[in-house]
Amino acid sequence: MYLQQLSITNFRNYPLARLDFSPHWNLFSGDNGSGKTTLLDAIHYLCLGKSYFHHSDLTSVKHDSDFFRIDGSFSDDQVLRMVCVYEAGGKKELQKNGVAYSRIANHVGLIPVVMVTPDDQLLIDEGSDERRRFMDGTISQIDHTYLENLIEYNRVLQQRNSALKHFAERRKTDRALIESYDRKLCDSGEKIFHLRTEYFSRMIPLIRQFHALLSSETEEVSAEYASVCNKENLAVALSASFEKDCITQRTNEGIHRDDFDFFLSKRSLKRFGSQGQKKSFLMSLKFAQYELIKREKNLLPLLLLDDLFDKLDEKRSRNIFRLIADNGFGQVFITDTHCDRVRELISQHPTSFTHYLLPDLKKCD
Amino acid sequence: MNFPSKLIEDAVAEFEKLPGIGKKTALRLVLHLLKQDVSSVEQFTHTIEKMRKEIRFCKNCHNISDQEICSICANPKRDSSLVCVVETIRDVIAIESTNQYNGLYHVLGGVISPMEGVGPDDLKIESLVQRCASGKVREVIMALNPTIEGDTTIFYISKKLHGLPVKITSIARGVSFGGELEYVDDVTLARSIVTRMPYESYLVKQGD
Repeated sequence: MYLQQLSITNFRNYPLARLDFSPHWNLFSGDNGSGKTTLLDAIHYLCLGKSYFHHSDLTSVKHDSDFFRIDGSFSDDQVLRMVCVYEAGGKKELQKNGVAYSRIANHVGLIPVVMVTPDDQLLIDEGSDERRRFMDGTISQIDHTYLENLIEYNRVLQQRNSALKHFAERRKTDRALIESYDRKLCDSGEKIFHLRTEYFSRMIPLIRQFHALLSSETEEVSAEYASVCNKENLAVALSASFEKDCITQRTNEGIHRDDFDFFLSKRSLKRFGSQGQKKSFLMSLKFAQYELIKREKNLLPLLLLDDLFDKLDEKRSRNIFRLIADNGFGQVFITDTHCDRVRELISQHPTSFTHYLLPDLKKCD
Repeated sequence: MNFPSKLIEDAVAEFEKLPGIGKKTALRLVLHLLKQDVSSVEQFTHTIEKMRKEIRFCKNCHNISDQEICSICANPKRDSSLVCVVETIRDVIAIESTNQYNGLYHVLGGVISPMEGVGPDDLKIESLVQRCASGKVREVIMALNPTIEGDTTIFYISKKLHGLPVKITSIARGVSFGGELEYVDDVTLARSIVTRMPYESYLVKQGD
């Protein structure tokens, strides 16, 4: 599956733009702030129905306008036309071939996508929620039941936490009510735990494999999935922390506190990794994500590479390029401030490519 | 919108508070009332005022009622050992219009949703427990919406009724009548398969 054509209206700094793409390499080049990343985010909207960067859709609406529209045609055996419309204050709508989805979640997984950006460093440096979001995004694109369970789990968790807050306000606890939520939390929580365990264990060898290709060092990569469910039954853990939950007014145990830890030569990457080590590891992680989705879905995800060569030396850039060119990746979108660097790298691999020069979206040959 | 009269403006503002009524519809209704005789408008407002002031809620099941006990609870022909638990009065009306149910009701007034500020104490759960504890009730049928909040409420009530000699059942969930399998969503269909029923009882239920 690849994106043939894209039109965007009132999306961030673009009043109106229309682009067509090569099924292989697509390059957006231009100065900082010229709108390269915005184009990648528009593509991300069509694949997953939301922005990669912003929680609120309103931030994607062009200043002085009150709606945006993204319209893209994907080509496979047939043409698949996706439209995403958002009106300020209104609801976001995602349409497939003219029919609106009743829930955007139903679209996730149809057009798999992997995004690589300089912000990804947060995945290592920040708290566990970034890493959970990464794994959730990966598994949701593979297995739809995972996303359904996750939505249900989060909803029950919100209700349970609200109930705990009410207890504090009314100075009265109701254990039966909390137990009513626990049963549902365990139900979806254990399914989520099993799928995280399964897919993460399939991902680790892929991370190793890509890390060996990308990094000249011979550090051993290892990773661990830390969850309360590894230690005990979730129902038991929830029940045991009831008093603590009432005091803290939130749920202290559950798969919403899971973490994924990464190690280089048995040392925590988060605490001991250098900038370069983190960067190579992140590339391996993203490529492993790509490979996992590709294998499980039997589909080539779109690969969106934002500012890939930021902080990478030439040798490493070449390695990554060769890896993408040789490894059966599908359609790739790449942004860079210097057009010559990427063009020179692409020219070494005999594939078709399109090049847009920003901000005026001039097509170069 | 500019109104030539403050009286009209106030009346429009009142109508606008009603669900599903916007400013233009409100104005249309007000102008319509203005065209009527004073006496018929008086009858209109009087009826509404009387309805609001005199309506009562059944002491037993919390359904709307003109007397202390609603007509359903007061009907000796109905099976008082059977209680159907519903969220709102609208659900009572929906089930009544099927003409298939001959037991009593219990209107909770909502479902447990702490996010919207609704806890168990805000619902008529305690009175349901008391009704069941009185010993007259044999079976409680849960007819709540199949949402997370509905399920939680069912589970909570069943915990509260634990130990009492009542059978707790839930309305069937599955493929709608006249529906087609291929258009049923995955969750519903999966549930229908898991909670399938023997063909014999299916036939009996249909023949009732």
